[in-house]
Amino acid sequence: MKVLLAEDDELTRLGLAEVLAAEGYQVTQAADGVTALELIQASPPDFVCLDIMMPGRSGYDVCRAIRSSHPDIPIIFISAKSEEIDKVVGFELGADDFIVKPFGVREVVARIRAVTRRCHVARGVDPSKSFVMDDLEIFPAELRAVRGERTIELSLRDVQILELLYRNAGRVLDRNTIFNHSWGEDYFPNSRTLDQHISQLRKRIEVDPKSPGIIRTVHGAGYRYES
Amino acid sequence: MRIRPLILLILIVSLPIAGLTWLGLRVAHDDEAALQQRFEEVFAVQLRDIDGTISRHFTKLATELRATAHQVGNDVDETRRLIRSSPQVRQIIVLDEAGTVLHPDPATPLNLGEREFLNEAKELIQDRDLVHAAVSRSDLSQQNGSAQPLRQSKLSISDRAASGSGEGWHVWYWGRGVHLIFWQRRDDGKIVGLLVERGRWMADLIAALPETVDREYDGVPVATTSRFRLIDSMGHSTYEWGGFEPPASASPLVELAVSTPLNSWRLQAIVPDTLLSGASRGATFQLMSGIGAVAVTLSVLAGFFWREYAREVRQASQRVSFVNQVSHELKTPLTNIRMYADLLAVDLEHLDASTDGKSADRLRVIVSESHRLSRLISNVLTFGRQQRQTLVLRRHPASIDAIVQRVVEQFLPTLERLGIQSELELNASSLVSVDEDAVEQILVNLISNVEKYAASGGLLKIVTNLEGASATISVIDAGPGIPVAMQRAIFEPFVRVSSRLEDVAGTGIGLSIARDLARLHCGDLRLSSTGPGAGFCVELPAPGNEGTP
Repeated sequence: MKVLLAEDDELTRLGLAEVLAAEGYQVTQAADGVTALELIQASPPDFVCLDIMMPGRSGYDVCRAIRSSHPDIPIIFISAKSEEIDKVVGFELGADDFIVKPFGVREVVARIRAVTRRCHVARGVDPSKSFVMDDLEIFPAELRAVRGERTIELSLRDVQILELLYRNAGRVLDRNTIFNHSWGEDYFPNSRTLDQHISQLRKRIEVDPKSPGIIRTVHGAGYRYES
Repeated sequence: MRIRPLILLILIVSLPIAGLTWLGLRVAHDDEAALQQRFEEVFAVQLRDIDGTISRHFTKLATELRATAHQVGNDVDETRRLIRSSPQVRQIIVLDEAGTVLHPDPATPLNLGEREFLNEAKELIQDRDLVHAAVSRSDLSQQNGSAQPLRQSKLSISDRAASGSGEGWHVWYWGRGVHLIFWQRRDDGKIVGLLVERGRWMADLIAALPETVDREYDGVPVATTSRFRLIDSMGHSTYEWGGFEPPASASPLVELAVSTPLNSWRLQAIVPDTLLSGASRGATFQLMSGIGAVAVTLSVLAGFFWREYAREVRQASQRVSFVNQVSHELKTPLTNIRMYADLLAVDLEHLDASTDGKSADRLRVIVSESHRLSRLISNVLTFGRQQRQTLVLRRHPASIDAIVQRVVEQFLPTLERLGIQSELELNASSLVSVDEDAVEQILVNLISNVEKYAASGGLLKIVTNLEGASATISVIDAGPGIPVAMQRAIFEPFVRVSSRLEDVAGTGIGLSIARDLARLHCGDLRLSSTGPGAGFCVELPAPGNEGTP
């Protein structure tokens, strides 16, 4: 899933890009409104995160331009202007959500996942479609997994990894395969990145992360799921 | 908003000026009236003097005529000689009581003057006017001096005599003018009438009147600025004097009826309008310049105050917008601090668990301090919006309990550090329609106060309830409580229980904002317990209780 991130503050932009990338999105960055519009025309993203106060063209302008050429792309505004009027203007222009600075990573993640779910629904993906791994039922379009009464929030990347393992049940998948599938080929591989991610994912989905039942390690080779 | 003080200022300036002008005009008008009255009095005195002169003239004439009348006897030649030797007398008539003319006797040969006289005096004799006048002088019938007296006799009597005899003036109009007859009634009933030579008495009268008047009024020589007229019974000016040439339309300032025998004549004094208005104009000018000076002073003062006020307003709004600007600017670095601290926390989790919890604790301090800074900034911004009255709620279905949990979680590291136990009794999990951000801000402000002022109590208790259509949140601590004297004031902006330097720092806007936000929800924030420990209760009428989540 491709995301365009337009934000003039470099540190905020880099930090957000990292958060989005960690969630499993391919992030394109723009430091101003004009660049953002050029990038959108060149290759329309799945959704856009827009800062309102930007040099050149404001977030409102960019939003209006996107709405006229691509009415279906969800837009999330990011702004320090928390005042009511800003929110109202943003929503009237067709913003899907509003993230107010200063924000925490968890809030951003929650809002982006919500927008992603709406994207899936908009594309006609059935939210009730699921697959079962062990005692875990996974709803990919909903970015959720359910074990009994418990709902587990998943990131886009989590879902992609679980889907890959599920489709290749019984087979050992080496790190490169998983990496290419879930991170994209242009991502510079770091052997620890995948292991850390799997470890974090296990903490959430495994009944006992110390002896995992869904994602099993095959030493020296990779990971495997046994149906 | 700035139009109201402007109108007020204009009123403050214009009302006294209008009042002063009105008063001034009234005073000026009164002054003018008083001045006119004084002028009138002065001229009336002059007219009475003139009338006195006329009166004296006729008294003197009467004395001379009386002497002549006494000499009138029965002898015709004697009488004719008397007429010739008396320049003032034109003709003499003698009547008996019945009105029969004894002289000049129409039965005897008459000279030209006598014939003419009898001819002209026919009506006078036939109507017995002179006899009536002389006989019934007791009923002093003063007929008015009408303007068409050509065929009408005028009766005017100077009643000086005892009954039986007497004398007087009879005014008689004939031809083109007034004729005076001096009559004398003798004891034998005969009436002697002397027709006074008209040209003579008028010339004498005019000679007796002044050529100029030498009186002065307030240093202004009246003679050159006024005109006196002697008006006859026909309304014609008989004689006038004085340096002023009045226009045809000029009306007299004062008028006086001339006394006997010229009763139907009038004396008029005419003054130029400029004399009256000129005198009052001086006073009016002084008054108006005074009012003008007051008006200018007031306007200058008002202008000055308005400029000061406008500057104050501008500066205040500049301060508010400056604070807002700064607060927004603060948000960017704060965003980065929070986000990178969060990212660092994720990184730390990925590190080996062998490292002790020190780094994680330190990171938690950074996160909780950045939370605190965000709270301060959002309080300042909310206060700014409150001042600009742009605070509006956005209600959405939300769970009060979820909000409480989220806020308390945010405070947990700080509460733990301060040794404050948190107790939650949450009974409001249903979705209600509130502004989540506003409720969060209310809670944040209340819990911040516990953290700042009641840490010594070691307790933070939050109880939520949904009763009927309203949600209540109670935030209770075990700290020192709130002094009775301060219980009302704490909700006012910038009021703090203690502002001493050694005490806890704070801005003093937290409770004011919290109460305003509660009131925007049509609810309220009250002090529910005053000690030991303080308790605040937020009441939020929550429409759209939409069932359990």
